[in-house]
Amino acid sequence: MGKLQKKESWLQKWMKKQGWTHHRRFIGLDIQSIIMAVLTALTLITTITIGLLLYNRFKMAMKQTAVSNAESMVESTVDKLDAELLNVRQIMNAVNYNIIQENDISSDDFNRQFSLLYEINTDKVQSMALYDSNGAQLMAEPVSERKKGVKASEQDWYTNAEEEIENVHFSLPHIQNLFEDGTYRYYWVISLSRSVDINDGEKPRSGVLLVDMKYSVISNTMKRINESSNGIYYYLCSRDGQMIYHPRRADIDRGYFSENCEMTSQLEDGTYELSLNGRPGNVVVSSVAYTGWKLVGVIPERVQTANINRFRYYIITAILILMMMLLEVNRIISRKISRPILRLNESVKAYETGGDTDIYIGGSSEIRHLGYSVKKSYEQIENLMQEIIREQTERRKSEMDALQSQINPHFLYNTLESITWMVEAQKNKEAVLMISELARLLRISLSKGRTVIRIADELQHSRSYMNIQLVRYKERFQVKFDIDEEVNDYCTVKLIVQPILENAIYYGVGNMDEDDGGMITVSGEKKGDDIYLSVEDNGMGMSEETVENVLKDNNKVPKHGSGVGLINVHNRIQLMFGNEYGLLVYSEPDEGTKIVIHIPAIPFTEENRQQLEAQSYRNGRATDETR
Amino acid sequence: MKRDKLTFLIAELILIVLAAFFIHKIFQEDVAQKRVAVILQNSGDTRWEGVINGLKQSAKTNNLHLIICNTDDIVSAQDERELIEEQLENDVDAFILCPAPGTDTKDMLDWLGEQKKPFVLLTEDVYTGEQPEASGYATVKPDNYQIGYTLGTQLITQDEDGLKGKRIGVIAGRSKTEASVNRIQGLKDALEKQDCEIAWEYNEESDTDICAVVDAQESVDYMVVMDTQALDTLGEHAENGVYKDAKIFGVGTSMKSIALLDAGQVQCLVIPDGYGIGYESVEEIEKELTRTFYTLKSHEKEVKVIYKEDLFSDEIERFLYSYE
Repeated sequence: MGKLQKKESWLQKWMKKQGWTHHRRFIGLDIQSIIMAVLTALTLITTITIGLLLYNRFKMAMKQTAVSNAESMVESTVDKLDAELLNVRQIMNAVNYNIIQENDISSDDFNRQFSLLYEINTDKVQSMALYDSNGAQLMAEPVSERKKGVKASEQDWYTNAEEEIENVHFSLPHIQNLFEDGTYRYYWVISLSRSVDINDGEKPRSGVLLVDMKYSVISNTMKRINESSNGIYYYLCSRDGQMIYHPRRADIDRGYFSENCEMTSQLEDGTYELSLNGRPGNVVVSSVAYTGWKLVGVIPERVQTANINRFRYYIITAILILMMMLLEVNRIISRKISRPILRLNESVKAYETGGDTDIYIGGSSEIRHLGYSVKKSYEQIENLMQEIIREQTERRKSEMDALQSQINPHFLYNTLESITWMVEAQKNKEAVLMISELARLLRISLSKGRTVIRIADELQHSRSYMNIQLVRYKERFQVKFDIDEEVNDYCTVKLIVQPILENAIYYGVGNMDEDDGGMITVSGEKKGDDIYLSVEDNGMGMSEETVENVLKDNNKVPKHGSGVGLINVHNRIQLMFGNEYGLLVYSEPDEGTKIVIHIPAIPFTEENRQQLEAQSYRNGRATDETR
Repeated sequence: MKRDKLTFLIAELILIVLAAFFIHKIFQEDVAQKRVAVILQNSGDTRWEGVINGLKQSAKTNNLHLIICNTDDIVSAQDERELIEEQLENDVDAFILCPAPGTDTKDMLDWLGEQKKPFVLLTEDVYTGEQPEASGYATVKPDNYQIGYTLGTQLITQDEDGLKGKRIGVIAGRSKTEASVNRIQGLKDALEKQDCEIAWEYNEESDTDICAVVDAQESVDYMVVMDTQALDTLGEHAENGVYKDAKIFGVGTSMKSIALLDAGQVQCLVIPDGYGIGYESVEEIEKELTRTFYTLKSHEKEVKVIYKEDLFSDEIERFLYSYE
């Protein structure tokens, strides 16, 4: 485990050194590099695969050609050897059947015909001789001195003929050891021998006929095919694996080369794939008629590989050049594909860093579409940003307006005037109440600069306001607060009830006589997840047209008083809680007006207050979460 | 430069280098055969039959072009240098040489070494004096001292009396050659403790009738002929019965030498493996020419001792096949 950790650590070090400290490095590659890498990988795989297939095909073709050539050569050579050997056998048969069996050996015809036949065939035959059953020479051509101390009957060709009298025997190549011609030369021959019946006067007897075929008859043919074989070589061996001809026979005798002719001599005619000196190769085997000799064509692997080496280099060079070109093409393609994307990316980056705001649009239809989409998105974001700024500005303005309404100089002047009057009239108790209510009003109005307050505080603010106004209006109307206790601890936007109360006084009950029974009723209740606060008066009410326009920012409804009307309240509620909330106006002329404040039921906690003020609850999204 | 562009350029560069390498390999396949000049004494002489067969076969196997220079007697280093210069003009790549007699040959070979042409000495080393020392040049040859020694031991074993009181005549090749000096020394060392006498010694000279020279010498019981050319000449001369009292033991590398053994004119023959000497000398040169850090090495080849009764055995027939 420790070792593994050590290894990982090393790997990490290495990757760090290479700049590949993290897999994000690969993710971080630009699109051009990725396209280039993918195309290059595909190119590599394709070209190498094609190269290998071509190479393999060519190699097979070369091998088949080499084997086919060797087979043709073996076949034609075997035919030639068959013909040569048949020719020598026919000479032997002619000597036997036409001369020996037809003539008495002591006759002149015998000698003449024997010599004539030899003379005709000196190109193939080194010598011809006839021996009796004791090994004594009866006849020989050419006429040469017999070697002293050499006994024909002890030589293999003689004993073979004696042992199997019905056959013609072919010896292995050997140095002729019978005659002396004074030239200090040796002759390599292949001896054909057979037992024959000799007519010697009246009594027939047996003997051995020897025809020494020149070894050159075989070796010249074999040399010729080996000289033009271009690495392929051919050899001839007997049926028991003894070498008759091999182009490297002297090398084999000295251990410079080895040939497993014992194994190949056991093979039937055909083509084989064998291990030759530890390396794979092909051999073609064909039998020579009558003798049982095997002509073997050997195609060593190096012959095939020597021819194929150059082709291998051609293939590799072609692949390399192809790869060079494809790499360039890949680069062009990857640049062509990636350039619009990169330019789009660059323009987006520039936009993000506050530079050029022009988004690039170009390239293929998909990239153009993407550019258009990004551009449109940014424009929308821009518009939304503008909208947010405008709303923020409006809200602050509304709040400022609302705040200003509370410190309306006229209202303050009247209130202070009323207090002065009360003090002068020794109505100290009422004056103290008035001052207390004014102080409470101002305190809640300010609320430490907060926008969201508890409903209880908002209602307290309304009570303070109404208490002051009741004093000012000499209680010509009545105020009734009918509030469910459970609504007290929910959130509300501050200063939303007071403007409605002000309107109720100003347009509703403010001008009524005491006897008219003016009444303003403030009620509050929670229905489901919403809270409804309503201000209802029994004043003169509004026309249907006025009701329709009272919450619209137009000049169809005249604005009076502090100037902070229902629109201000409505807007502030919607800015804070969303467009589904706000004011509802119900009014009947001469009957009265009812304004309902509809807000979500959000428990008042410090956290909720802060979130609301941070505007994360806009459009009602957080309302449910906060609940 | 951007990283991807740099990577691309490096990849292209590597591919160009690889392509250039393989194109070079394609043309390398067309390189002409290396040419090796062979300089032998009397190149047409029958004693070189086996050597030349070995040279040719090895050249064929090792894909070398062999130029066997047509030469007569090379009696001095100067003669040999002229032949070498002629071949240098033919732009041969290497030499296989039979060193010329004399101490000047070493200087001549030093000069050849300066021509930056590798060479291998064939059949004998350079003559460095009467007490020969190895020259240090790569040499493919039989152990010449051992040849002389072997002939001496064969004399001893073949003589019924162990050479007691016998007289021996010695004919060697050219004087001032490593082969002659070492062979004679080997023979003398082998006979040192025998009660026999080396009646005379003769080193073959060019344009001299060896038969006449030997005829003029006093008769001996044995003649030890340590040069193939001399053996073939004397052996043939012996057919006429002129040396009927002297048995000939010798070194022979030609078919004629073997035929003389067969005919009974020569009693014992020591045969160096000429084919092997030729084959391995070319192989050595091929290694030097094709392997960058190869250093030429010397080889010593075996010798065979044969008598008439050994002829026509499978082993000797196989050995003689290389003379074909």
